[in-house]
Amino acid sequence: VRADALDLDIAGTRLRVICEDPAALAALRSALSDQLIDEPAPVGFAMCVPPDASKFHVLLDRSGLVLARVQRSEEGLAVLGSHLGALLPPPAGTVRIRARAILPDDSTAALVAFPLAFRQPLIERRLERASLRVVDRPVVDVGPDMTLQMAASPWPGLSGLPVPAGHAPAPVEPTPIGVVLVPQLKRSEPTQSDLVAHLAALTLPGASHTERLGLAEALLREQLAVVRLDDPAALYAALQR
Amino acid sequence: VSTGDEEGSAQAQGDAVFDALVPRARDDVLVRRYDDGVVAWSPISPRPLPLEPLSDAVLNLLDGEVSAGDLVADLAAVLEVGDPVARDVLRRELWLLEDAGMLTTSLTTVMSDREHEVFPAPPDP
Repeated sequence: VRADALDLDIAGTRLRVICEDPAALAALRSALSDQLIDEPAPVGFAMCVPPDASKFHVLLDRSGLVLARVQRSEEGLAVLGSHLGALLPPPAGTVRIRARAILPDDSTAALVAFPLAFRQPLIERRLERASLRVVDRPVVDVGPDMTLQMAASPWPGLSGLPVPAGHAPAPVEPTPIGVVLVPQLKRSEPTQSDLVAHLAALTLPGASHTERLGLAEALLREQLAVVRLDDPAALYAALQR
Repeated sequence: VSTGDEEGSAQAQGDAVFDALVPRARDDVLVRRYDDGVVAWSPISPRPLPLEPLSDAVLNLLDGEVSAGDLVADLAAVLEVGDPVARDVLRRELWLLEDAGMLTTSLTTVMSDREHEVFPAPPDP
């Protein structure tokens, strides 16, 4: 399969998207025409076509983490479009944190703190079986009232595509955080100060240190689950509780 | 003069310089206290640092008036150890705090070269 690529500048971040599917690449080029640049950019994402019809299209980020395994390339583009939205600035008044949001339903969200859900791929079939959907963003924007307040991706050519099972675009309505999953970083139970420092370190510059520590403290007041990093099943079990 | 004597003399000179140091903590470090510990965040550091009780105590003492020598004496009394051990403890605490951007000046010029050794601990017998 011949891979082609396009280079983008999204809000000052330059990145390359490698795509093995010519039709998907053309759709991507059309949807992101305002972001196209001529200079080669560092690889950001890669979309690989299946070797045969029985396999999945796979979307990877630059670390090699599988972001989606989908039946059709349009579904992969939908996931990619949502991920690209993370390169845009967070909505005013929110604090951005490196975490995944998982939606057990439409009314609440689980916040899964890095590096949980970043070291091993989330498996669509397991998400579906548990009636869960992962928000396709590597960051979460949280408002002062502890709700997700995320902006939709602004590319209709991508956001209008069918979203695959087990996935969700960033919710545009404020969504309360029902539970926070944090990694077990030490053998012993983490202390509150350990967790505050860990969560605050995951927040991104843009908010003040006071706001970032405040978010970490507020997240710890939510229902909390400490999840082992070396046990992928533990993440799903915690999400289903 | 034996090599050991030279090393001892150099160490004594280094200790004397270190003891004369008057370290000062930045006054804009954000400190939050919790039931089980302390988190401190310098405005020039990308991430906060959970502080052990000893680090927290040292940070609070760095007012720009107390010398490292005085702190060594205090630590030796509190920890019930000799001055050399207390000095090593203080050096490590100051390195930690400096690395986290919590001091007003760099300590590099007054620190012992021992801090830069690849294997600072003595070999097992």
